[in-house]
Amino acid sequence: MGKFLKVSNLSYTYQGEDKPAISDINLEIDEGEFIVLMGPSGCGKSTLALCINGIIPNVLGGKLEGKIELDGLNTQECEVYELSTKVGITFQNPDSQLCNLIVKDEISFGPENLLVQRDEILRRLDKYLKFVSLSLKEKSSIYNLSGGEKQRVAIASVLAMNPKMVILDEPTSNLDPIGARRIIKVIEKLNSEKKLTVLLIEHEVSSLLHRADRLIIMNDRTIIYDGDPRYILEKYGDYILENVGVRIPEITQLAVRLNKKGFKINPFPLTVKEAVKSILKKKDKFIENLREELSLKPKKKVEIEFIKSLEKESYTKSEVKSHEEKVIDVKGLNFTYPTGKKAVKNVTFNINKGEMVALMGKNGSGKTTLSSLLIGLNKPNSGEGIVANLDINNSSINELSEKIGYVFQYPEHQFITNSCYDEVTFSLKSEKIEESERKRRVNKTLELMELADFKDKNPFNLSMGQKRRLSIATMLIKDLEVLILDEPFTGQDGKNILKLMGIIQKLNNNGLTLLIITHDLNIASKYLSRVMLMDGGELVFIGKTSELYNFLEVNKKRYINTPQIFRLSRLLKITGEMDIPIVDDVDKFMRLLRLNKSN
Amino acid sequence: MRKALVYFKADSFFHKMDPTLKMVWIFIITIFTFLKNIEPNYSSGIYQLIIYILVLIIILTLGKIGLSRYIKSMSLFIPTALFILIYKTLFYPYTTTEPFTVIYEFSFIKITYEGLFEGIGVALRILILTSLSILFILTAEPKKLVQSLMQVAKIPYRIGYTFYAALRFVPLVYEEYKNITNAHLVRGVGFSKIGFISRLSLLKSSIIPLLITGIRRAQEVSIAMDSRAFGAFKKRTIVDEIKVRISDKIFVTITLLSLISYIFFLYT
Repeated sequence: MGKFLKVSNLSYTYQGEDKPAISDINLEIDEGEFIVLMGPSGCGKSTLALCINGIIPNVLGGKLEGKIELDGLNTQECEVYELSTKVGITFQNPDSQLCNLIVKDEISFGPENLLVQRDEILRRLDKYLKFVSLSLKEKSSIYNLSGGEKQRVAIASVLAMNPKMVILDEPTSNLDPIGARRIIKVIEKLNSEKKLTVLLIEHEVSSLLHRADRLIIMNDRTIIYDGDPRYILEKYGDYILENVGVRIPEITQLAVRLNKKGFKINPFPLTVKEAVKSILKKKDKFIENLREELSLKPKKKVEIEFIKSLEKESYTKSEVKSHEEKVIDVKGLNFTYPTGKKAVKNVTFNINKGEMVALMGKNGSGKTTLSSLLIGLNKPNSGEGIVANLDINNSSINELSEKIGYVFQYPEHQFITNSCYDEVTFSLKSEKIEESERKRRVNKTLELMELADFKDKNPFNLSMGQKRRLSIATMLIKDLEVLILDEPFTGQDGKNILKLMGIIQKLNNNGLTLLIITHDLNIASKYLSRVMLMDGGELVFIGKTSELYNFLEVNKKRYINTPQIFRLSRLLKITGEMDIPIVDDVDKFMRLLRLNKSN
Repeated sequence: MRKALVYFKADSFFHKMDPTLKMVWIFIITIFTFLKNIEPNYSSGIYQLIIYILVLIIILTLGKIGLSRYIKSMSLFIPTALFILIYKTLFYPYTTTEPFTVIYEFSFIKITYEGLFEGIGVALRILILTSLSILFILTAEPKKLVQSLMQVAKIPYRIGYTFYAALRFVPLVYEEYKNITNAHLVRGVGFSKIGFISRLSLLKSSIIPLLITGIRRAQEVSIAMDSRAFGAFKKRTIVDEIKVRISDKIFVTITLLSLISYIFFLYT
């Protein structure tokens, strides 16, 4: 029997483009395989997916070379609808793949198009709705669903066409960690229960890589690695991390670095549990390698000091500066939308000058609304607040926005002019300064944001990472005291995140106070001084990340995902009875050991 | 105001009525209002008044639209009707052949029975037509309307689905518009002292981002629809079959019969 999918020498160029979007792709997939496809933004992952289901070239045109055979059909020679029963595809944006008003219609949409009998459609509707969720109702309006629920409806609507293979193009990128976790469970079931061939395109895969049969890494328009995830990450993890800019799970990052230092852990772990097992096997050697400071007594004090020294060594982390002036100071803020939704309930906190604080919580927990109160887009129903010496109740958004910048989640929403240069200049329009001075400042800001080469380019034609940096630049050119960033890392690859974080740190060093809305606790614990956690409109926690872990431990409710390394060191301490401090990222863990000296 | 002109859930004859037949019924009543009436000319006011009262009774009982909801929905149209009433009364085109009775005269202002009744007639016609539209908007569930258009009125499903898309994406576009104007407010667009001008500049600056995201969304949706075999065949399976109730048919037939007999009465 032949392969289920066979892609040979595939190259494709979009209509009106000169450069190919993908080139020289060779790929074979067996029925029932579970494959994870990773690669930096713009490497051609989504294009490959559209080639497999025949949208390329049948709908989008363009120039395709090579051949794709899917279950015996040549995708270029048959209609898209013939392929739709072989392979189903879901897309990143939950809102732009659903075209019906209620859940029932959406799931029956595909089989209706294929003239499947009514009774059979109803049977499938029932079956697949239950498969993706037990709480979703047939009659629910799609508009009222959360992003995660929409994504699950999208999966059900594809399953209703009875495909043999499902392609999921970044299904969790637009979701919060809680929504993402539910989707990942559904994806696992697709392969394990339904025995479907699954091709998952994703940036963040730490919770399911161990389930995958194969890992494919794409870079620069073609496939560079293809094989067993364990093998690939063990052998090339280092290279992938350094040069490709793909986010591989922290636990594998740690294993790669341990291996490199000569502390081989076998078998190569893909999950926290595997890592715990592998390390416990070499418990003695591990303890032997622990730094001397840790075996000294009394333990408690040493541990605390040790962690402090770790943090100093690891990063130039933003500090909590309690003695200095408060730049944000709010008391008892309440806000209710005209629809009656209480979005912010009795929120009190303060942030000092020069701090970098993370604002975390599920989608809909009130993060964005709270920020809108700080910037003046909404006025609180009750409570008071001072931001950058301005009273948020009495100051206009005009006055507030001179001191507080706000970078929206979708940077495009903020663009007004036709070139990057004008875009940055626009922010200075209310200031009376000389032309030469204006030019100097705009150029300086563009340079700082690494955008000098794109001065004349239209903002809408930039890449996602560049758009983000441009929207920050438009805020920065003003003399800001506070900058709020709304999910700046969402859907970005590892390389872009690092670049952006570098810039953010530079700004912070110059005295800017930052409030960053994010779901990424790894980033928060590495770079930010404190974390604020919101739930249902209330501020349930504010403090350092180390305190946050305690808080999460005590409160059983799952607000956010904890970092893998944190879970690893905690498990080693509890189940392995090892006397090690609990740390939360790779660098800190590496510093527990004195491998540098012994090897 | 926005809330006053959208579909509301209720259990009434008109809520359950098939939207296509409802449109037919409204069309019949509309013809009634445009029929040239019995002589003398000025009695049109009384004729329209009778239709209006009937329509009003039907709306309030068969449509279960409360009086307060009705008045709220009409709040834009009642002043318009009043304006037309005054205008038509004052500027009635008097001919030399037709006699007229003056009620009141002061310099160039001349109010006559003929003018007043003509004005009342036109104003009432406006009230009737807007009331009918409101009845339709308030009682037709958008989804049912599109389904009925595809199944009862037999418009092709490809066209029907563009209505669906509109229904699905209007709230999203509105949400996005709000986000964009917020984003632009933060950037200092629309900070003029005059409210109207700042609103205008906000609208202007937000159109391009709105269009760009709109076009992108349209592309993504069409790819997602193609991927699920949209347009594969001329027909689709119908899962939710619409059954037109007998009572709807009888209701429309009776109205139609009365129209025909009235026309018959007028022209013989």
